[in-house]
Amino acid sequence: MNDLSVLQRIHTGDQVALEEVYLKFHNEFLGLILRKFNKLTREDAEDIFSESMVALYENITNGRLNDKNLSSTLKTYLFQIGINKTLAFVKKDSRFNDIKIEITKNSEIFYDEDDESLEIETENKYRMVEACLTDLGNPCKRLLELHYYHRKRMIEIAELLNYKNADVAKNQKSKCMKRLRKLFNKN
Amino acid sequence: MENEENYIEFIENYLANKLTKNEAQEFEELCQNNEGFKSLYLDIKTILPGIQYSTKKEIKSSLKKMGLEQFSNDDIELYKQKADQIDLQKSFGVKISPKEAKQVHFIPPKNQKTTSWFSYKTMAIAASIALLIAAYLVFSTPKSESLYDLAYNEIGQGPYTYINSDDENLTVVRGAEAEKLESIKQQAYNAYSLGQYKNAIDFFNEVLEKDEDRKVKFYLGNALLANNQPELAIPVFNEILAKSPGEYEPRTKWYLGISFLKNGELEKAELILKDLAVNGKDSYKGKAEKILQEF
Repeated sequence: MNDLSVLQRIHTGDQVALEEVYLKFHNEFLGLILRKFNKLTREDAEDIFSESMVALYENITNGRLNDKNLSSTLKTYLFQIGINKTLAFVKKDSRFNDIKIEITKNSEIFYDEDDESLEIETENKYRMVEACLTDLGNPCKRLLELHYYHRKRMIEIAELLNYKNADVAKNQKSKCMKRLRKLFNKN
Repeated sequence: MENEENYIEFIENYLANKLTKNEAQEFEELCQNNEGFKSLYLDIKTILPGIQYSTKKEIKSSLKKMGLEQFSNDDIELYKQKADQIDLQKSFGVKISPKEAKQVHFIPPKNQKTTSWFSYKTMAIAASIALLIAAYLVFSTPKSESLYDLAYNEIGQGPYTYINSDDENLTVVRGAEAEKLESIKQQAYNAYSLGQYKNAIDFFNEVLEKDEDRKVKFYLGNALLANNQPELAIPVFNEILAKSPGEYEPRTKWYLGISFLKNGELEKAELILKDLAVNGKDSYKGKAEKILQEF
């Protein structure tokens, strides 16, 4: 598995590539943090790793990480995100009050903050959107996800969802958005 | 609503910061003069991050499920042993040690007698140096500034987000005077959510002259804080707390604490945040606990 080709595959939206990376480093990363922070449970570690993977994915799709600026290996990059996420997790958890953590070298990897620190009020609103999306169903749900989360262009969406062309996809997107808003306002 | 499709794209571009100066101005005018547009904007502002939130959650949980299904604890055990060869500090710049190490141990000089010739004069000089250092700490309070930054920008993620909560839609407006007040209120919230804190402050104050509205007051405090006027935000937050704050209590205490930090009043900040950590109920309790660890 070559790092650069994996990056490109993930960038084009290849979910399989993302899963391959996940499975490849899963045990090594979980072993590392479970050993170094021995009060973490398997469940905690799974949460941290899946979150790190999503952060890696977002950095690739938003262009922050590309084949030109990957200065280390993809593994080092992912593990650095993972360690940062672990520290953030440990910091919030009183089980770890007995250890002291010092950061001796600042990580140069940036990623978007998690939803965990959301206001309860805001999170409830997002949950409402989540429920509306489920009600909306596919293909609308998938289309909106592809456009607003995976940052796909209309032409790519047309291809993925079998629309005739980008205009049809765009038209469809507007309709889906209208329906979603209607559902949102009903609640 | 007419033009809804075009407007959605316009709003998306606004939220992504992609509008030119002229377009942004047009956007703000629409927001102020067109009710339909404004409510579309407020919906989209929640729906877009909501879609992202929901998609992200789905991917996370499907990855997690895959990990749990494919690997047993024994698979991981092997790597736990390998982890002993990894130095976290060397590889990731992170040093972990037991907390006890944090305490500063004062080691008394071994030979007390040899130091007993210390004259009172030397002691006096040492004492005044200590005083100077203490004074420096009190007046410059760099700690307070860094705690403020941590609390406001990292834990709290910047100014309080304006949410058009449902209670406003239920407001029944009677009479021209009340209608006018309601419109100023809306202008205030608009300005606030667009980050125009100076304008928002003026509007909020105008409303408060006629109507003691707790929510308006809370946003006034936040606008003042965001506008770098913590000294003015403090009395506003205190006023809310003095008059049955209700559901506003935890968040008001949190932003009062932050205002104290911003204003360099570390002790007062600690007091109110401790209160919040002990008596708070919602997410602000956790936030207070988090920041107190850094004190």
